[in-house]
Amino acid sequence: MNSYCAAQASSLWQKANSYYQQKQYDSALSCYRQIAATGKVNAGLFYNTANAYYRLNRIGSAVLYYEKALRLEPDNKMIADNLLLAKKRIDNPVAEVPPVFFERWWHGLLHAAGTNGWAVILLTLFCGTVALIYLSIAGKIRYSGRWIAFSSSLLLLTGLITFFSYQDAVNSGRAVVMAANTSLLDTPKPGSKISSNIPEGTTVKLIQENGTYVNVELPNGRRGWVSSSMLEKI
Amino acid sequence: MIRKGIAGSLLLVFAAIISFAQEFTAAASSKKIGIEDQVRVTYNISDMNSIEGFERPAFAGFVVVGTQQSINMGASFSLSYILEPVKKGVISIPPARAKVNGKIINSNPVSIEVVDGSLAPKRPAAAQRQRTVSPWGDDDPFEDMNRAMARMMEDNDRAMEEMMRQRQRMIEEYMRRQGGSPYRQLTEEEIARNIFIKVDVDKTSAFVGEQITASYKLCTRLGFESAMVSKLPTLSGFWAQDFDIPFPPKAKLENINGLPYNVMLLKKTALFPTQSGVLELDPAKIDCNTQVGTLHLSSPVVKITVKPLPVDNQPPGFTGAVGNFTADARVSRKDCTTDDVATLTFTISGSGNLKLIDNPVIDFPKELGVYDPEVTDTITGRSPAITGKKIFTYNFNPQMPGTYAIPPINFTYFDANAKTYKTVTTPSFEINVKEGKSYRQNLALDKKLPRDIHDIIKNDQQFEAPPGKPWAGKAWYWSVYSLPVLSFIGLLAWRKRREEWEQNAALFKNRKANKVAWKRLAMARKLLSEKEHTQFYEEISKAIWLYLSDKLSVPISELSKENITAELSLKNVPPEHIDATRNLITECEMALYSPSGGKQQKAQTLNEATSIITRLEDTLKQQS
Repeated sequence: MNSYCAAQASSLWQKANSYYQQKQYDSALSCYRQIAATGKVNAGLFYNTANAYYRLNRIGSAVLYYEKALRLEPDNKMIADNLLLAKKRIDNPVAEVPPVFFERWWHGLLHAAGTNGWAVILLTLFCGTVALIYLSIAGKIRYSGRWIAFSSSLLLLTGLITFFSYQDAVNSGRAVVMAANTSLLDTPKPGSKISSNIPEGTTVKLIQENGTYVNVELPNGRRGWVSSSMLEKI
Repeated sequence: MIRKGIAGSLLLVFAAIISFAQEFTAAASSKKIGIEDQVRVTYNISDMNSIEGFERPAFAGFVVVGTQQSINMGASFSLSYILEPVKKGVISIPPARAKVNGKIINSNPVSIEVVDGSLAPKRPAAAQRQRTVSPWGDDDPFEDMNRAMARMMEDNDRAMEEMMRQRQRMIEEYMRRQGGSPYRQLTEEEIARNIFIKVDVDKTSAFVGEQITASYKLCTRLGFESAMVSKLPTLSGFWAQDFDIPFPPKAKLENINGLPYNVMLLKKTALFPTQSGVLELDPAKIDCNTQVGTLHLSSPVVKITVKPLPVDNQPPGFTGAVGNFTADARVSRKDCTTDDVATLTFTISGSGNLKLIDNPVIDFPKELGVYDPEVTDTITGRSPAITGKKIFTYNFNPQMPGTYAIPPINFTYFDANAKTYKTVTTPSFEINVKEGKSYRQNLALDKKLPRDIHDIIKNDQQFEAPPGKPWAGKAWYWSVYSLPVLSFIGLLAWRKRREEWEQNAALFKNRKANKVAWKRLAMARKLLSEKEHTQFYEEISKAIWLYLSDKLSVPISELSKENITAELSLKNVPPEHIDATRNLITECEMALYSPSGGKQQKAQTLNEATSIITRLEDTLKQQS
């Protein structure tokens, strides 16, 4: 059954790609969606899907799928390039505040070892600290207090990194605005004052969910509420 | 009027207009002359239409040998007198007077110094001859004609004869048809033979881009008052670069088909065909006021066959240069930052169709941020071929730090003489770019983006269920943490026990002592019912001794009935217990050597031993 599914997915993939080459992006897209519907995906599928959306000028979906692809393969330059190109086609884009250097470092750190990598490092450090404590009780090392203090702080730091890395892996915490001119509301109530309109394809940070409304942060740092139906989580 | 026409000046001033303010000036061609020379004094009035009268000064000390008048296309009017000095010294010519708009205005005076001999280049004494020939003296109406004839004679005697004949004919005709306008009777054919525009080209077949030099000349044997170019050739299909021609134009005598003509160069142009095929040099048109009325002259159409450049071995990167060139490239700086703007200057110099050369194809690295070039052409020389420079200035503002190579530029031109393509290669450059103060990586990355999205991935893919929770979210991962914790606890416990055992081995033995004693007593109880008398007492004795040895941490060999009392009292055992113990040991010893006593006694001894060990145990346990 499994191999049958795989064969079917493979043939759908070829079919979709040939549709794409013939510029029949709608048909290509429907095939890509069928593959995704099997529940088995990869970065390439998301990437091609996004390209088809891009060609159909559906920038919101294109951005969403590039972001999804990039989450699976964060170092893929092709995906990153296309995402930037897709973002360039957003009408009146919200100005993006470039990440501060330590934000870049932090993200680099989270991705440096991967979530599981950090988990392993954490476990190893934990074992080391326990061993250190035992040895210090046994009185077999000198300056054991210093060693334990050092090891514990390292453990704490790694614990934090692992935690955030895990958070990041489980939940991107970001969403893409799927509808053009989505209203950014002041309060999570119908009929609230609209503080601005967000163009389709804008990537927002999710801060808090409140029923049908989501508190989001725009790329320029501005916050407000958006109807959750307008968003698609990455 | 007619006389004036016959004597009319041959001087023409074409298209160009020199505009003067409304003024009346006099100028001499030379301030210092030899007595054998001639000098020209020119009076210039800027607005001809307003002149009502003109009075020349008396040229005292000079003989007027000729006059010339010319009307510029604007309204300026000039009148020249050619004078020959008759005496030496500084001769002052008083101002001429003119009546302009009812007012009399004076020109400036002119003074000329006359010295011995001649300051001008030696020339045959034609003027002398002419003067002697002239029957009219100073006011000879044919003065100019004569002068012209005289000059022509300098070149050609036949021309002189022809001119004389023509003049004779004209005079005869004039005499015959006095009162009318005799020249109107000239046939068109005759007119066309006597005045026409000639087009000279140095070649009639050329490659695209090869220089052709064309000259438009007005050839005339008639005198006229003025001429105006009404249409210059448009020369479509060519890039034209005009030569400088003398201004005002000078008439030259030229023999055409055996007849002498006054020839004036109207236009000399270097032509570079921009397309192949048969191209035509369209006519130039001139309106001439001559003695036979106003003539509309038109030059003949000249056909040029333009051959296309050979395509077979045309190198790639050929940008249309035809001629003979060299090329050079320079960069303003090789080390710069992303804040700077540097320049690459590519210069093509040589002769040929400079203006028609397209921008070279230079494969600049994209990161250098090269702008479109500024192109300047400078023509430095015209004869015989157009030479000059074409400079392409490429400004670039590097976007990304790094080292970039500007590849060599291959400049190819077609050598029309050798009929081959030639290539000049410039050196390559390496540009080191450092990060500048205003460097923004994102902006730079933005510039590096491709124009269109990357294409889809086409190779086969392995699709997988999306990865579940990372290990950090799984129970098994956290359960692994219990391993070190448990082993830590275990190790700690084991260690504690070992420590206790090591540090207090006696206590360990002590605890064991009770057990051993009870075992021995249990054995003795078994032996109670049997006849094993000796064995029974031995067991009880051993039980007591071993118990005491372990409890008191004294080896059994060192124990004796004597030191037991001391050891036990050291452990604060009450004296009655010590006595009981001693009695029991003594009883056992006695029983071993005197096997008397029945079962009853044995049971009593056993009970005694049990009670003693129990009592000792109680006491000793309290202390440990």
